[in-house]
Amino acid sequence: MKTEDVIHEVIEKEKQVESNPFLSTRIMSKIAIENAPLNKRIYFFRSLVVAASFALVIIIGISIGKIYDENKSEYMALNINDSQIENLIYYIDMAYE
Amino acid sequence: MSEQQLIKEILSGNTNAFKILVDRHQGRVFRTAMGFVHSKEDAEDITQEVFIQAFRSLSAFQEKSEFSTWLYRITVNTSINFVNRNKLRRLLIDTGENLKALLNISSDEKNAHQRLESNERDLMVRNAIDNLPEKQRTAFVLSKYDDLSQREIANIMKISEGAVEQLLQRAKANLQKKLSRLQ
Repeated sequence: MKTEDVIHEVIEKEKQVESNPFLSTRIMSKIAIENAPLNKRIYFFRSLVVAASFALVIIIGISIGKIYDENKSEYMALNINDSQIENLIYYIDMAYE
Repeated sequence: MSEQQLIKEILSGNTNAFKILVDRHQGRVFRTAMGFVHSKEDAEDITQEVFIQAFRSLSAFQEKSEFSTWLYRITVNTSINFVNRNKLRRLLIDTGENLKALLNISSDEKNAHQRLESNERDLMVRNAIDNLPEKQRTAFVLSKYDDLSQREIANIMKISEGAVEQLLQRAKANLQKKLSRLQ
């Protein structure tokens, strides 16, 4: 068999392959999804909501951190009695009262 | 309905008119893609990509050339990009197919041997086509898979008819050289 005939045979075999009959439907559905204005709007709002959530989480985190910082006691609590685990601060507070 | 009318319809917002264009040109796009990737699934993916790209850039189509010529250009570019992106995957698939053919040898050894030889021959031809330089390969695929004339190929590739003839001759000579083992 000549080389040209072999090449021709292989190409003809590939040319016989038919595409999926629903390929055009698949293409049109992809285009419809991409083209839908509602989807574009939803996509825009979705990114907006995600960004807003991130900002909210950061702000809440900072506020919680600040609350802790504001309520910090001036007195230092020391655990000196290991067997009873009592805070010395109670005794100190009592001295002030 | 003419293609110009269809394009106007699509640009005015009638997306359904695009389906008529898809139905008209889907076969050609798929065949061209097959010439580049030799796989039904990959060719279908390329066909889908081509039509989506065409839809997106339809407003940029200036009607200086035929719609089919413009679509062929998109197909060739998309196919070449796809092949370059998936070189390693293609190699693995080919190796897998060879192994599968080897493992599927039935008790009828003569037939199995013939099948194996035929598979190997097909693979050699495909590899030889794939290893042609890009321009030779494009001209060859458009000529052999789509049966386009040298004039049409020249329009698609934006070169002269003489250059197309030269590319096809070189492609033929290259394939003969690469496949001399088959004789």
